[in-house]
Amino acid sequence: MAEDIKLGVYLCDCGGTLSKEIDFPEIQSRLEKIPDIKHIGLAHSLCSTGDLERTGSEIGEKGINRVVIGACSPRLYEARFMGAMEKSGLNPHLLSLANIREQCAWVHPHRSKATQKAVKQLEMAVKNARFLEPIEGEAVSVNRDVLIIGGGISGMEAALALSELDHKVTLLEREKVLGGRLRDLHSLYPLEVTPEALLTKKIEVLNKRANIEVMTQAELLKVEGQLGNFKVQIRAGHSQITRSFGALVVATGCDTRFAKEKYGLELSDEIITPLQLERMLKSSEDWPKIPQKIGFLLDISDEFSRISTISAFRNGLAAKRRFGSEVYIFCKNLKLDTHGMERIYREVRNRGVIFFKFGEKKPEISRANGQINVQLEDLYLGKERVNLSFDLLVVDEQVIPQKGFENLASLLHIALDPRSFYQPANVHLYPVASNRKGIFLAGSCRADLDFPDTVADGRAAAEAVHQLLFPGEIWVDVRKVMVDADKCVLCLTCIRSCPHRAIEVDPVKKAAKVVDVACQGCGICAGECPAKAIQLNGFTDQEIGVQLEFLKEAV
Amino acid sequence: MIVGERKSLEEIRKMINGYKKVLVAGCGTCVTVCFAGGEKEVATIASALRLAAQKGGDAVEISEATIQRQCDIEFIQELKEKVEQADAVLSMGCGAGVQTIAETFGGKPVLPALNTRFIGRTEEQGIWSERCAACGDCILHLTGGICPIARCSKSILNGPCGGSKDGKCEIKSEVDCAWQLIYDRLKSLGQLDLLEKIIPVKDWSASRDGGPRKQVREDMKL
Amino acid sequence: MTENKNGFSPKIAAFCCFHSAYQAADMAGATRHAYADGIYIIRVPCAGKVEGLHILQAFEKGADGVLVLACPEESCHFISGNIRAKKRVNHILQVLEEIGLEPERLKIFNLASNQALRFLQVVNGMAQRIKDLGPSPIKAGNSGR
Repeated sequence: MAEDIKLGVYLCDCGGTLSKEIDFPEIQSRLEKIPDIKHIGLAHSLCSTGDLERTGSEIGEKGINRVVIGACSPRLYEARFMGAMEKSGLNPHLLSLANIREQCAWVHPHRSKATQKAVKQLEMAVKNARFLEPIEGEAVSVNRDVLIIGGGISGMEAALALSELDHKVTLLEREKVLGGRLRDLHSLYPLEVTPEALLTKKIEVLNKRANIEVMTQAELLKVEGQLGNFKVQIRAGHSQITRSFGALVVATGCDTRFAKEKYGLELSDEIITPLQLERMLKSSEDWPKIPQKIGFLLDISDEFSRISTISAFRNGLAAKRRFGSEVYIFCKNLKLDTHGMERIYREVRNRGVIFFKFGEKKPEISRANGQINVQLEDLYLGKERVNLSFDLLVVDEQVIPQKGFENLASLLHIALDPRSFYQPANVHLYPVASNRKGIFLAGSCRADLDFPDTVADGRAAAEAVHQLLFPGEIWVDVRKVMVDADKCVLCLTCIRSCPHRAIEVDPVKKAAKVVDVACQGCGICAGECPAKAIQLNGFTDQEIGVQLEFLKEAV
Repeated sequence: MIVGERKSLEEIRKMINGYKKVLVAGCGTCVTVCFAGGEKEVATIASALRLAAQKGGDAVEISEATIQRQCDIEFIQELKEKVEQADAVLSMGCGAGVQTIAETFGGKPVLPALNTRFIGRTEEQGIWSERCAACGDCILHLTGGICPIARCSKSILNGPCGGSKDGKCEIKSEVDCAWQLIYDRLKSLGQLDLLEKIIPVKDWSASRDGGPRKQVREDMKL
Repeated sequence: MTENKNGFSPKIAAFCCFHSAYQAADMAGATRHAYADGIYIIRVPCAGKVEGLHILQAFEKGADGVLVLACPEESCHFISGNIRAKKRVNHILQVLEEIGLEPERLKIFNLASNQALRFLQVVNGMAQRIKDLGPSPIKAGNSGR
């Protein structure tokens, strides 16, 4: 703090409305007593262009070097205020905001108490502002090449989309052929095109693209580096390759599992999984006998499986069309929450598929005379027991993460959700982003998704990658987190605790080093460091400690 | 590294009772890594002691300082001024640190805030376990890199004893039987023949049993 | 509003994670429901930034109570910040016990960014509890620092 601190305090009464709840002249007179405050102003709409410009010029004219704003929540206009500061030549991080509207005027009905509180909040912000340091930005150049892990439909869509957007793409697949789960399906109804035809076409287009490199029977060995510069080691066939990529997309898909323990019975010729049914529907020879009555069970292996539900609808309709079979579906609750499911459900009902709904008691399944018997207490028929027999019973399956998910999660240091799928940064707002910048998720590896959502995901991930890498450089805040190399004892705590894997060992300084491009500014490292070697700019011990000073004074 | 653990606040308060100005001194090496006595712990304990004092109505001033290492005089000298201003020093270093401070500033009481426990390794973040007993006569080459002195409850040299069960120690069931570990390791190294040699009775004089130890390197003396 | 007959108005430092509790507090503001004016919100980017040290400093400086408000379990915006915060709070609760300060004076709560009512419940509940407990037995200003 070698420079002379010159604080400018800007208050806003929100179009005059806050003057009812807070006594602004009183606030101004209290703050005037503070010697290093060189200017106190009251605006009616600080967020407006006019007021912002005025504020900016005042900052320049009076040589203000720390700005304190008392207004609405920083969540609304903090970025705008920072922009105005930057325009006036002041580092935008030298700003301290007091939330005197949502967290004061609006919740403390006594005018004098609200005014006192607002004064205290502004004093806290003033004290905080004195310790603020500028945070500079810098452009970090990034590699625009992308690695896609998984050659199923999500991965292929992402590859095609990125290739169209002029990125060089490497598509990694561990099997001999591309296609993933789609290879096992016999139909994509209501699409007329068969999965086989769809895949053939996609692979044909993929292979023609000069900027897509397909590696089959390939495996990811090691991943180092950060967004913009991931260094990846791949085993392809017998050779080991090292490559550099700007971003990674994980599209490894999911697996399914018959929960034998929840059913309490074995599979057989008459009790089959959806996958076995797909195979039978694909080939004309695999039928032991043409099924007259087919039953589909849902919500026993897994109460959340969209995949089993869509499969039951599609294949129920297919069986009806092909064999004229009677089709029954037993479920607890139908979840029609993806694109197209409501439509296909209506069609399924209109075609005469019969639904039975059970409650907490699972249907009882038994064998008699070469037929499978299903007995249940229907939820709507009350205690009436429904008793039906089938030639073929199709069970439902649990959707589980793809084999090798733990290994990949640990290679990439990405988080898993409670069901062990890759955890999106936010399920609603950022569904294709992982907890690490530059690593994206697409398709059923991140949630129970089926076609066409997996296709949409692939494209969404491609779009997100493109937005990030397209400019060829990323603007990064430097010195957001500061490590004092002299104090650092390389206890490795910060490196282990960082949820974004954004800290490395600097081999030259022999201390921890934060990689600015990957840092998300959470401050967990600073909070953990036993040597007090790390400080998060804007939230240093001094800046927090000084805000606590309000406790010393009487309210 | 040396692993230590902070004494209870009760014990520490009893120790500093009566002193009006106490300097809490931290160490930036081993005890920082095991979260027992680094700069952060110093600040935390100082704050806790102040709170306790205020609550109890004791008028004691607590100051803080952390140095790189408490076992080298040059670093200890950095504390000179603060030590002079205090009535007593509460060292958060290991036993060696506490004593070095005491030897350097003979006129001031130096109190231990930690119990120094063992030489060990980090098993994972937050968990450390003992590996070395500093016996002065290392035989790790004979036991596949696993120390029977530090890791066997009975420190026997030709184990296991009759109490080894399912790879666990009969004295403390959470403890792995060191000799089971040694056997498994030597097996994977293809060196089981080493177990056929009897390790002779240990000369404990190289260890603490032989009295306080000293080490001299003539070539390194200035 | 939370003053008892002796006029004791608790001073409570509330460390609010910007991605959860801070937003909930803003939303609570929008509902115009009142809460104790002795509650001061200190913004942090993540509850994982709050150290045991800061909590103890708050008590040293005269806080009657301290709140740490974090994202809901399994939904930390930064994956593990709320877990770190909880561990630190539990550690400091032990220290408070050793000092002889009532553990009710320090609490950690999890809430989502849209839980305005829960924010109000939490802060009002805390203010009431602290009012009943009385002022902190630590007298502010005699810290000897």
